[in-house]
Amino acid sequence: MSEVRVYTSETGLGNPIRLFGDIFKGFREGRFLGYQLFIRDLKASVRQSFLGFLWHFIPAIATAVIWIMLNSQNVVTIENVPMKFPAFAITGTILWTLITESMNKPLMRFVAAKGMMVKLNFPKEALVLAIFYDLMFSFLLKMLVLLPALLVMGYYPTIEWIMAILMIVPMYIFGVAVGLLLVPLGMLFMDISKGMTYIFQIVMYLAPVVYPVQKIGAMGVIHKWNPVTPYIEFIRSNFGGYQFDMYFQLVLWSVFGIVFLFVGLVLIRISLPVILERSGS
Amino acid sequence: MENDKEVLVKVEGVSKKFARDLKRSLRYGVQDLTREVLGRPRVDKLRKSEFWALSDVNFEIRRGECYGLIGHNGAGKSTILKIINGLLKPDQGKVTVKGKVAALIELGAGFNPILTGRENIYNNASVLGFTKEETDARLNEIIAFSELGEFIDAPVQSYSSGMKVRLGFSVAAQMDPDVLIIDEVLAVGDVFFRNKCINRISELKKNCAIIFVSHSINLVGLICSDAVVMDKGRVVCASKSIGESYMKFLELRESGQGFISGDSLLQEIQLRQEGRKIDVVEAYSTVDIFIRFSQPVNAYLTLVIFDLSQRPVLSILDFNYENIQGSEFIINDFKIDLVPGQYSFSVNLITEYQGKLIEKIMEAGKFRVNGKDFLWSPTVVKYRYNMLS
Repeated sequence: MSEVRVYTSETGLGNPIRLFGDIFKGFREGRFLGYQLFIRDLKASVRQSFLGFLWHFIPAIATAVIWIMLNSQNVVTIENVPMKFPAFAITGTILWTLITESMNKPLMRFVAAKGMMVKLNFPKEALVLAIFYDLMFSFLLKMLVLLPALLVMGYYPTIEWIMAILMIVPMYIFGVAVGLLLVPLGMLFMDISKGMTYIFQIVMYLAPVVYPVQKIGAMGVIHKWNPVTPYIEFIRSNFGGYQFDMYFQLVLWSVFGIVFLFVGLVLIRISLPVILERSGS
Repeated sequence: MENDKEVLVKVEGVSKKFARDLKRSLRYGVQDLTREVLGRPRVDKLRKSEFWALSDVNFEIRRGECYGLIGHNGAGKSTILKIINGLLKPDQGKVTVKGKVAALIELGAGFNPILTGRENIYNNASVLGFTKEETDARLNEIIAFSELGEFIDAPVQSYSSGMKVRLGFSVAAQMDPDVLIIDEVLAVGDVFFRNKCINRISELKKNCAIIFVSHSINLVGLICSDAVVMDKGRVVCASKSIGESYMKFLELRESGQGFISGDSLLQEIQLRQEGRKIDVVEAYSTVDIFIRFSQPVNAYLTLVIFDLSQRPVLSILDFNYENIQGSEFIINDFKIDLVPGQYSFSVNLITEYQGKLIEKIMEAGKFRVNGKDFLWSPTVVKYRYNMLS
């Protein structure tokens, strides 16, 4: 007999090795499902919209254009920008969208799959795979816009560009991990997904997205310990060829990201049955 | 009995608590989780607003067996299915499932309405646990089984609900499970496709253990080898005889007197034996059917006997198609040629033979037939089989 499953009241927390084994098995068994979910939603979203892929850029570019205008008209003056301002702002807003997407996606995916999860037993790790597929795709599309834009504005590819692109991986891990940690609560209360939209709007102004990192004052402290700062700064400085000095925070948050990701995966495994049991069918 | 075949599903002492209050239920869920992290035993008693949705359920299903689960709404049928499928965790006890599990609980899970039927085959198959290669290999079979023809390349949102079910079942039917869980999915779809589904399930039955939940006792009788009756979270009866289980199921609910409203012409319809009213009658025995109206009538009367699922079973007509006149009538020596079960009368009053309807009353004069000949036709007549050679 191929496989024997035993269901008891135990959640698996008492046996962490088996729990991690189960998570690993979930990823392996969920490969096709994860890919298929990604393809399904991608196809459907393109067929359902007139502008299609353009929606991947519109918000980021709109934000950047507004800031470029505000700056060029001297409505707000942003000083000490280490790059040409338009290039700086577009890179910043695109990176910002990538981060917010990675934090939002897990909850969106899990909420959308709720109906399926209460009826059928499939490895939930497939959804995590689908999240990463979604994000990688969105990243590729955005690079297709960002890289030519940088070229046009006089930034030419260097070896550092590769470093910048590689740094997307730990950034996504951190973002997805935070997103996964919010899934259990977010599936129960609408407040989380609603709140996230507003929080991201506010936090955008607290992060060096359209203006450079501040070193002094309260803003300096916020920037220094805002987990988003080192990622944005590392990637942008490698594209724009300016100095980056937040290596400690970069490593710190990346280690946290990996730890959070594991905690998130375990949390999903043990909390989903409790949540789904109470969500009815 | 094929008791040598391996046990594929084993349910041992399974109990499950639910809380009526959502907030409290969430708190209990968190409480249970923390207790487990801290290594403390679970709370076995019922906490406030909790109740046992399942209590001490035991059964085992072997390869080649098909268990029909019957019970009223809220009896715990779906809960036990979800536990076997791994969607819910039992609070007590243990469920062991061997081999590949397939659940026909929700057909067409993972469908996206915008995409075509063909594309959605892959979506549905991936949710059910197929790999890409397996789906590719079965694609033609799936499309052929669904009989959707050229609609397979139309978006699923343009399908009728029956067509969606066809496609969903066609994908699910291609699985070769060891354990198959079916929950009331055959209710939709036309008769021909339904029969096709039943045939496919019978085919699968040879090689797997099936748990089948249905309100249709006829389907249970058609497909299943055993029947389990559940009530209020407990197994009340588990039997090789589906008829016996069915009678147990009928006993769970008071039969009542049917619905005759006060202002209708019909006041009463009852079975009588030796002049006394009876509610339970032995099969093949003889009874009188007594009918009383609130005022004298001059009308043509037909009686139709219906079974529990409102299938017409037998009609009773007057010999000469004549109108009845008066307010009390009796049909003498009516032979109960019915299989055991629950029945009721439909009384139709018409102005004259093939005339206009005066009054039609359904579910009047309920009665139960006891006996031992459980058959899947509603009526049964006994004849002598004479030997010729």
